Amino acid sequence: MKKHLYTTDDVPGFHRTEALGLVRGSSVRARHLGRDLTAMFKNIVGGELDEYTKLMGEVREQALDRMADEARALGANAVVGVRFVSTEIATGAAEVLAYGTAVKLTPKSGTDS
Amino acid sequence: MTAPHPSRDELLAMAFVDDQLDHEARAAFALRLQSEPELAREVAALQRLDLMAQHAAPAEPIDLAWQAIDSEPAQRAVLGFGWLILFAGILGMLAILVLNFAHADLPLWQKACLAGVFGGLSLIFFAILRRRLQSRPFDPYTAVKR
Repeated sequence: MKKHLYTTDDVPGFHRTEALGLVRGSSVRARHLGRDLTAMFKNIVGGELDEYTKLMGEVREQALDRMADEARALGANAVVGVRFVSTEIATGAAEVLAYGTAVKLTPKSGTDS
Repeated sequence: MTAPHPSRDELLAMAFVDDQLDHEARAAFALRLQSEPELAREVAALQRLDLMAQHAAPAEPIDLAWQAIDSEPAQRAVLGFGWLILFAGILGMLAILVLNFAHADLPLWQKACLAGVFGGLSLIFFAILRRRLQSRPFDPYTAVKR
């Protein structure tokens, strides 16, 4: 399932046999105070705040996995039209909502899955 | 020397993470995870590996530069000493606050209220810290780099 997440509505080589509805997954995560302090100093001197790059990566992957789990529970084998929404709940925390449409995909005849 | 064969539970955990179980087997295994912490820890470790494998992109030049700088003895010593004196300073300030508070010319009920506020906050913090430390092995997302 994890590898069958698409931002497009159609997947080349497959057709949708069933649309099972909206699925979503969200997560809010924060780094610890020590990382926030390090990032604060990096904010002064410039460059990538890799503490927050990592934070965004963690929250994105968790939201995607939760969305995929929800699709799996519905009996889907793919999610199409995947989108991300990000906002800020609290200072130093990141929230990502991933959503899409759970579908059943079947290979078109003459196509290898 | 050959590696021991994985147990049935280890094979099931691998199949669970790789999404190879059918619906019923997956639901039954997920139910077991709720009551078997060792198994849940094994699944989290496999999920961590899976996440790392998904992001097995080669290191960027800047990663190598950061690693080289972070491993310099001078850099490590300065950072370590910085954290050490920061923590020592914070502990010292807390000790001064507690001493001043104990000797402050305040009615007992005011002291009790303030002690309640700080004591309560401390207990809540330690409970949350304990929860985080105990749940960390079950959190595979800490392996994500970017």
